[in-house]
Amino acid sequence: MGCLAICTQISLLIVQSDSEYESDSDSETYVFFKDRPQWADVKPLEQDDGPDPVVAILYADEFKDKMNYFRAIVQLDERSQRAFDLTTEVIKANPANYHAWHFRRLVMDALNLDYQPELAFTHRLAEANPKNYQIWHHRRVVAEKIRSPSNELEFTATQLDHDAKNYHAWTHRHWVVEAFGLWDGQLDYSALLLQRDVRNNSAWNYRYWILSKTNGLDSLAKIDEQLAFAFALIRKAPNNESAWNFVRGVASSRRFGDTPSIEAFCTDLSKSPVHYPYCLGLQVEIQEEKALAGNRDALLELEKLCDKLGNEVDTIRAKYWNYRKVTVRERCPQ
Amino acid sequence: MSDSGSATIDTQETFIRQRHAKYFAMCLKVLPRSMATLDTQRMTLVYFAVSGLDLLNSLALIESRRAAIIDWVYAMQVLPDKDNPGLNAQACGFRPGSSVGAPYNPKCEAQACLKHDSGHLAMSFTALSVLAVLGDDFSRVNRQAIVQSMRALQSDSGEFFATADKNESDVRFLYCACVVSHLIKDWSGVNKATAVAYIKSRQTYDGSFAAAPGLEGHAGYTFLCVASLYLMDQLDEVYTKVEQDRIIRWCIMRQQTGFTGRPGKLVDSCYSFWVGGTLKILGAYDLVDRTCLRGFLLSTQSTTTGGLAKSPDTLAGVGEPDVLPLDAAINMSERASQHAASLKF
Repeated sequence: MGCLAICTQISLLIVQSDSEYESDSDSETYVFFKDRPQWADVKPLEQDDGPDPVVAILYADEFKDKMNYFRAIVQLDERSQRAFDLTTEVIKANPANYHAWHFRRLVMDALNLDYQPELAFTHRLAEANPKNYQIWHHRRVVAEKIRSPSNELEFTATQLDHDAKNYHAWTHRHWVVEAFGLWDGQLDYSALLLQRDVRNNSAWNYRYWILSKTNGLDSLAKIDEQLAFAFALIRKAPNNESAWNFVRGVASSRRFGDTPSIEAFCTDLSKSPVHYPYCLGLQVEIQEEKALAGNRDALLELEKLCDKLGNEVDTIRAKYWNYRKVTVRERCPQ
Repeated sequence: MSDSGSATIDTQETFIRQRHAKYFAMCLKVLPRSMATLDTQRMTLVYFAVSGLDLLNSLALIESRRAAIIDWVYAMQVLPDKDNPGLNAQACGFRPGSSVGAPYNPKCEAQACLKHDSGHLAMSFTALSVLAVLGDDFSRVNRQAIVQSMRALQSDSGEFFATADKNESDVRFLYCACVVSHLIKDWSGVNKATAVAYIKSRQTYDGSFAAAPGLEGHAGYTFLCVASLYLMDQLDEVYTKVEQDRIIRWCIMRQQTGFTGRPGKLVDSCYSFWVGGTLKILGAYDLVDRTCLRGFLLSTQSTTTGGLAKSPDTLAGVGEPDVLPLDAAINMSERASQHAASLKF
């Protein structure tokens, strides 16, 4: 169910030209189920939408035909090869039909069908529908059933080559890496993606996750190593929120006072004639830590930083920087 | 501040309310065949259109169909089996539409249940919301059956599955369970303790929330987590003001002109709801630059057909004069929310 995606879809009502649909309506080659001898024994089941249907979809005849027989076969609970083939047709016509996906798996389990070919099936569907929840869910079930990560890393890498921030592909990759313990080489993979696009927040997050799962942040030395990695990329693109958040993340188990390289880096970067808002924003937090410990000069410095951000550097957030100033002041020991 | 969304915004554009309303009213009637890919989510479409009309203060446009829409929604309710209620006790709630082949049953009379027929949490959420918006009294809602099914949909780890066959599960369905519980005023279908732990495990290093532990923070999931905590009355229990400020910081950083859903991504009108709604729940919506946001949103309007390039309820948050005030946590007008709250069971 695409809760998050659906608001996109509804706005496309008028102009949508759905490639999956186009290929589906190839009526020259389509043989209706009522004309297929092997289905003669099944009575199609129409949907009953009542006398005044709401959001009535003007289904294509082919679509209605498939669904009529799918409804019938589900009510017969027939777990057969022809039922399996029918789910293939129904899913191709509507890959979001979670009901058909579930029934397909019931049939496969009943007939003890091989799940391996499902990899190719989902691969083809994912190419046309990279953000469909049901396809990715099925892919996970397949990997679980065949108890093999098979080529899941490669598959997700291919998907990420098309869209390096595809949330579904990342979700699948995280799952497969953790489920099958495929940690090796993943830090390098994150570095590769960041080399391609230093603003890829998914890749920064992946890097953080791999580190946190592989004892990569459990000493100050290791934290410093990752900070150095981030600092080098921030120097190339200082207005990159993702990299600054990564700095916050790797240092989050310590106080800023324990990781002095962060303040030193910010101070150095601030010597530039250009003001970098994310740099100033992190300095606000460094000063906040000191101010809350009773350092009055730090509070004054924080107030100056917030004023500079709100009045000059980051004016769209003027109210926010004022809020920060006020709240920190209130929380400071008197 | 970033490379995205730095286009100049025309703040003088006007909001074409009536055209948006006609667009929704049209969607409620028929949809083109290409929309067959939404066949198993029709209830959500009804919800977007009806709730959209409400926020546009234009329900009068569909007044003549009010009873028919309410009947259609009730006809989608999955009820306990007539003879053996235990048979489908985990599968009650609302279905997305009539695609499973159930007989049209708007009066919700007890019948034999269908094989493989199941309510879906997103459909129960949207169906109840549509009923509330249309002023229905929930008299045909089987609250007990819904609560019983919800209990079966939640696992020991706090997660909620969407349907009785327990395939998909993520934060979306926990949120749906929270709105359902809120609307029917019965929380016995949700184990709050495990739900809270489930949500906390999804907070990321940058303060936002993700679909699963370790995944990237995302504005949609951030809204779902924060709104769920709020509806469970756990937000202030779980996060101190300082911790809430971390969430606020991430949200505020999303504003470029409109909002982005993740750092480094492009602005998109739907995030005006996901981020704006989160900030509203956290009591920090005043920190948003509304002039800038409104200009962006109006620039996404389709002046020919009506409709924004994403969802118009995003404008309710900006305080557009032609749009009703929003109860962000359940994404419904305050008017409809108050109606639902006034129902007695």
